[in-house]
Amino acid sequence: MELFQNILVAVAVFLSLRFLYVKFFKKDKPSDKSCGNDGCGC
Amino acid sequence: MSELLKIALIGNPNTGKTSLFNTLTGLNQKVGNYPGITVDKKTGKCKLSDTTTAEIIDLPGTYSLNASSEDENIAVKILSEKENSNYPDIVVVIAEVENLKRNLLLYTQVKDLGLPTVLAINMQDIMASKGISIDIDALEMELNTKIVLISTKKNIGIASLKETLLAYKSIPLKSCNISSTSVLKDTSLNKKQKQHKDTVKRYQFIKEALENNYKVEIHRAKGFRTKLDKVLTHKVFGYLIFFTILFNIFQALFSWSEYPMELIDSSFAFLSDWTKGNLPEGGFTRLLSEGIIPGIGGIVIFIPQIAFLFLFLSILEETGYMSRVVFLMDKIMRKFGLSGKSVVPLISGTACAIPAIMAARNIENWKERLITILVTPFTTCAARLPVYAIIISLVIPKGNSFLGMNNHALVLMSLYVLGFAAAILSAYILNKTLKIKSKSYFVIEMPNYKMPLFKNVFYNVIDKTKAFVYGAGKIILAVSILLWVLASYGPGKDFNQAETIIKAKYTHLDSDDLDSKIASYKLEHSYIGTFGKFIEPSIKPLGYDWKVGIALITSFAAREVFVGTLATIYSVGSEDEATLMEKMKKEVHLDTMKPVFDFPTGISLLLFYAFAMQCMSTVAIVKKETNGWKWPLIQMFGMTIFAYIIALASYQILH
Repeated sequence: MELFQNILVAVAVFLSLRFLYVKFFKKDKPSDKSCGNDGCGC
Repeated sequence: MSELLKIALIGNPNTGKTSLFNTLTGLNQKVGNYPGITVDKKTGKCKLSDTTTAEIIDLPGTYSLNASSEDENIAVKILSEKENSNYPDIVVVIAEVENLKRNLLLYTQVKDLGLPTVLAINMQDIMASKGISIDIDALEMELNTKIVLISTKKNIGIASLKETLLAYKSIPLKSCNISSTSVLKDTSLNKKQKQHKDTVKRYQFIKEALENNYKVEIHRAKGFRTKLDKVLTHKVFGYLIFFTILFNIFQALFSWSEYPMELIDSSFAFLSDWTKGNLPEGGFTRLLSEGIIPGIGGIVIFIPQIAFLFLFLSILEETGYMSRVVFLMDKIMRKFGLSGKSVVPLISGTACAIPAIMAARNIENWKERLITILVTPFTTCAARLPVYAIIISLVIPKGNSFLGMNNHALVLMSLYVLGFAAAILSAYILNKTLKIKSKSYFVIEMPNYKMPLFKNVFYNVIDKTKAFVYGAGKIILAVSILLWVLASYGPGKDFNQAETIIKAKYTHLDSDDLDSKIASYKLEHSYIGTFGKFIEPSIKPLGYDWKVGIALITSFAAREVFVGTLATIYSVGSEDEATLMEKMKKEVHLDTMKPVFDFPTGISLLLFYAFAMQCMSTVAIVKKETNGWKWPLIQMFGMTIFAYIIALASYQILH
């Protein structure tokens, strides 16, 4: 169980890093959703 | 076989163009009252008949096709370039019945482009009460077009408009024959002069066309609106009323949200505790209970405040009052060297700096636009609200002091005023430094006062709150996961043998105190703790400990991450079911045992967040709008250094 839980943590960390990388470093323009920015809290 | 027609909607701001777009396409979209709010292109599908579907293109609101601003350029390009993928089969020009003369300028320009053009005159429902009568048949003859009277508010005339669009081939293509359309796309040096002459000719044509066909009983048309405008835009009462409204909004934000916020806070504390007690022991369970749930809770807690803020802003916009505020602020702006066009980005910056900076595209003068882009992030955006709200609740005593006003609301309003003051003062300095010589003119639209449409307000509140939760929530979720890992693991024997070290050091403590000491020791020697300790000397003079320092760094992704970060850091290793507020209240400096969030530190933090950039998305949009890294970097470092100095000064004076 401990191993399974650690794998889940590792997956969560990988997905988080990937999300932040794509959001802030890969994309050059803000998303066109709502106000044009899906991270500013508007 | 079904036919697809491309229809472009164009009109002056505040004519109900967006409402018509919503009615035709069924898409929900914000309806704004102040000029220039529609910047991006919007499209939607509308079924005209069983065999015909229309693709509706909502062009930016514009007063003319004199290609001087970016919005006008977009409209001219789409309507004049046949090879453009958005080139329409039909154009619908929307005019507003009370301002028909001014609205027809755009109509004559569109008509001269040679496209089938339908004139939709909106707000038919107020014609009788305003004493307006129009001879439609005669006006159709004068303007060589089909005219449809509509009311987007009462859903009148929409079926008739669809029928007219289906029969678009019968619309005469004959232009108004006023002048050459090349004036619209002219880029020569004397462009302005040519456009001016062209506009005069067009107004003469419009005057003649309306002379016998459009009648207004002036004494009925004025009256209530004029009287109200006189008070609301008065040089003394206008500001007084505005600040009273603002103050009441802030007061309501705190008092109305208190109970739902407490409920959310305690629910997340319970959920976190339940997860820990009921799921199998292990890393992922701890990640859920100590990282993800408190982190997400740290943002969900602000839903009531954000929803109320947007509820009030939407009502102010919908009633038409926001345009009076723009007019009032324009008077102040001019004294600081900015034109009224900068007011729109600055006011919309209270929601979010991103669309506000994009709205600066309306400003033709590059330097004026640049200054607006650079100072807009000073305006208090919704993302600052969670930080302000939690710090104010922690360090400002509850109750009323100044003239019976609520302390919390007063401080919050002061922070909004401070942000606006910082924006216009820095604009003044930049104006002097960058030596702006030319100024652009500003046409302000004063829409009619109206009862807010419940549907528009409701969708606006839902859309904005959803964007806040999902947008910021995704970042906070990712940051919380990484923070938890960095706070739960650490290098060296200090972290790995924390239990042995603490047990040897504190032999007389009971097991609860011992657990708390071990958790605190482990956190201090975790990866995040080591990094926090490394940066602590640079933030200690501002009154912050290393945990606040970590929150400052992570909140550069988005300001509201600050609260989520603290929620995660304070939860790691914590066994009790305390709410975030209780945890922050209990947090003490280990050396002095004094509270971390005392008055001087709180004020220092509030001032830091009032002035610091702290938003990666804003940096990205400024880079895009200024085509390079120079200005966003100057802006980011300038604001952060300024914020640091002010926070340092305030802490050193107060503590």
